[in-house]
Amino acid sequence: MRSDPGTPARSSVSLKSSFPRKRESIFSRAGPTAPRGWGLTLAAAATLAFLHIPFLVILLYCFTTDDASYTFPPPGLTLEWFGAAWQRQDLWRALALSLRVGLTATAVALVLGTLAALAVYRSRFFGREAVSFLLLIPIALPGIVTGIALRSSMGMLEIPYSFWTIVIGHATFCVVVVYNNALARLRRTSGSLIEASMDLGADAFQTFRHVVLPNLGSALLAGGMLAFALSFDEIIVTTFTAGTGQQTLPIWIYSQLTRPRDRPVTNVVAVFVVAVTFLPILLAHRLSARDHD
Amino acid sequence: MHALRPAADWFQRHPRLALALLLGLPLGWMVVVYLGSLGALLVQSFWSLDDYTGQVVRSFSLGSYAQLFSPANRDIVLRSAGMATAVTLAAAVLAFPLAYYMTFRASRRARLLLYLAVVIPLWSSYLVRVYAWKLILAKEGVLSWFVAHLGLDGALQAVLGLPGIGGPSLSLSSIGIFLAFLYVWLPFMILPLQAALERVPRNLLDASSDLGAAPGQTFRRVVLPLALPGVVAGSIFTFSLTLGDFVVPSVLGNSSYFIGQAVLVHQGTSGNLPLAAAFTVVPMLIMGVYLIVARRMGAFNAL
Amino acid sequence: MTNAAPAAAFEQATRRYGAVLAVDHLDLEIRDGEFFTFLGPSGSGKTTCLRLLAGFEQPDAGRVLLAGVDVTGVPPYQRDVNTVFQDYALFPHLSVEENVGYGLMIRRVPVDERKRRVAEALDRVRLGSYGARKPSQLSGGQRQRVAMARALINRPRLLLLDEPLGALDLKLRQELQVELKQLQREVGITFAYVTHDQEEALSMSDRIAVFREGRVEQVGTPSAVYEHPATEFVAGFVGTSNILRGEAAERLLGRQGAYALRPEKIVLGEAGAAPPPGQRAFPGRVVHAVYLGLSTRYLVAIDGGTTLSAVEQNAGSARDAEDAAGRAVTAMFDPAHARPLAR
Repeated sequence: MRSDPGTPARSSVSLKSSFPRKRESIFSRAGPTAPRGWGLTLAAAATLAFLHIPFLVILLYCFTTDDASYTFPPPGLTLEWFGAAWQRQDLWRALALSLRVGLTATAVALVLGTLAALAVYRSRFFGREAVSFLLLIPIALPGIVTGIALRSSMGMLEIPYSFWTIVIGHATFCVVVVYNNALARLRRTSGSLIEASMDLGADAFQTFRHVVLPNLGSALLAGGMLAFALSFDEIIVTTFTAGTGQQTLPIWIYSQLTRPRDRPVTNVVAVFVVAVTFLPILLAHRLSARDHD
Repeated sequence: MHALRPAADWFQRHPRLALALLLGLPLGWMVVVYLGSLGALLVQSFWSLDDYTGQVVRSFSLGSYAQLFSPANRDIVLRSAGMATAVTLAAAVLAFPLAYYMTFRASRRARLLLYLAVVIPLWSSYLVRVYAWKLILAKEGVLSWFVAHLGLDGALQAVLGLPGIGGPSLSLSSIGIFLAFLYVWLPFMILPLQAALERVPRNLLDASSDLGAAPGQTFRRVVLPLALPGVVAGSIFTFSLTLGDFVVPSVLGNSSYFIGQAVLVHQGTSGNLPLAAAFTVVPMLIMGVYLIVARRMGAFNAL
Repeated sequence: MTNAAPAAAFEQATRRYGAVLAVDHLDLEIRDGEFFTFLGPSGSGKTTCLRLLAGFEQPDAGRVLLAGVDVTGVPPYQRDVNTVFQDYALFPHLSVEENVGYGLMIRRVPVDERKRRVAEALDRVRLGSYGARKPSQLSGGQRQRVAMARALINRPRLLLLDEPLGALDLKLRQELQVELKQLQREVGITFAYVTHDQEEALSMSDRIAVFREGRVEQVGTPSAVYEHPATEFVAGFVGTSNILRGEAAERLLGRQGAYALRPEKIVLGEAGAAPPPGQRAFPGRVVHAVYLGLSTRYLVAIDGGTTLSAVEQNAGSARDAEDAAGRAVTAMFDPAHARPLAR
């Protein structure tokens, strides 16, 4: 075969012309397999539209004057729902709970994830991969499994469902996010930096404080933000680990879905939740871009 | 020296102990909280609920599992598996053109933008994305408006009348559930598929064409088989996520339950945690088998 | 040199990685104030020796001593030793000043004194105005000097340098070799230097230890090691040599055993020329010649079977290498230059 992966399609065309019996290949990046024409592009565009239009719909409905149904097109446009949302006390309570849970779970995840990453990075020990796998399971298994499992054990131990049970649930699947980020960053850090620090007189704690932590800084920030976004948006496990009457923001939204009152307010909250979870993830992505190349 | 120096010296002399301490907290947490809970789940599934007293009987019995085989519960499992299959297939079909376009047609810059376009919905709130479909599918909502204006009202009513997949309205039907599932999990299918397509060596395509295959044949005989691991990898997500979900069916469904709802209902009002646990084991088992098969098909290399 | 205890010593030191003996029952002494070089190919154990001295590794058997004290088990941060790393290991998040002052900061040296000493150290390596920069803004040679300053500012008893010039280009390397040697003389600290570059070792060292597979083949001053190689390996690794054994030794030297004869000790005269008194002559033919600018290297086939490598400086007009091939010559040398080898 004459071609190597880097050969542009051009050469296959020129060679082709000397063999008129064989089918001509298409002069494009895809070379000899691309179905011609706009069919592919249209299909791709349709899928893309399918992925994005729904959110735009919610955005539109933030402004509708119709508060009882989802009539399309909206009878009128107004900003009153933003004000209405602001007034809702139950909404503020839900937001406060979500924030408290998010921040606490993130803090726990940061500590546990960093410790685990340091341990795995620094030593070669039997079962290293098992640790990574173990940390991954809560996020890999469906939410109801984690939810029911926690509810089972909490029920058996007769632990009352409260703020802390929610945090425990969230922290458990948030750890792996911090762990992955921290480990990726540690792996990019030259081992000789730690040796250099020790060589200059710093023991393990001093080295951690002056060399390792500054290097980990932005990776931990990224992991923390991802963890926060995960926690803020979480509904399935939270449903199982929250006490009666406790509402995080997603639970609040969920409860609203069966009530016809003030639908546009729900839309406003929905848009707000998207913003709060989207931005940290976007920032986290940029912070850790180089670690994952 | 500083206060922690003696501790640091001690750690230096006992590196294994230091490791144990570092690892102890996170590992302890995961083992105690998570694995312990999974164990508790398993134990619960082997208990049962006494119908008369309404209390959980804490002794080994297969009663809860036996209940899974009742006609109603069998229906629930089959319905969930069916939905998961449908969503997976539809996701594969929908994902393919976009993934193909991204890999073989888009310029480098376009590919980056398209990648972001696929990933960004994932970064938005899951619940909100489900909620969006409640809006779209509402009786007076966006979709109905389009249907009416395209004169397809009759067709829509006919479809809604179909048993099993229809319902009182789009937003309370299996079709609605299907659409919502497809929408939320689609990126999970696109990404591995695109990664697998990326890995197809271009010279294989040239070779196939050189040996006389038309573009369509090359696609069927070279690209498709090589992309299959990517599809299987993506299907792991779409299948597993659909199988256990309760949010979408609750928001958009009617009285026919899916596994997730069964779990929620049984552990809630009826207090039948054992049955809920048994129900939970079902998707775990199904996914276990699925993963083994997927591994054989090379899906893990595509992840 | 003083009569102080050796700056460092290995006593039957052994270090294993799995089945491989990186350092094999090593006995070695580094004298106080000397520039000592560990020379050898990759994997010969020289870097491991350095790491044993620094404390990054512990010997599996035997002892490592610093200034006469057994330091087995002593962590790196408690040893009076500093290291200049091969990749410099400058802290990327700290400025040049902060890097250089790191050791002082850890030891809680007061800020004013620290600032003063950092400025001094940077001046000594001629980077006085670079204090505020970050390592990423420096060239390779500049980073190397910062690494030196960072190590030397702590006034260690022993400075370890792990192929510090490896990443630099030739001209810069030669420049820095001179600088390093001067620095060592000025500061008076014992230097333990690791390199695989024998030219570097010869130009800078007070003494060289030639390493091979975890063992020392020879220790001595540069001239001793070069002029009187103890083994065939040393003869071939430090410079090049013609190795004469058995039949060849008999024929060319009239002696038994193994000998090393340096190419530059062989002079090629016209065919049929008579040797100067005390020297031997052998007729032969040039197999091929390589022009190296400064010199030309000839491969000469001596009548009777041996091939010898000879090097001559191109003192006059450049002899065309191609012309030389095939020419009949007489190879002449003083048999005293054929050094006996132990192995």
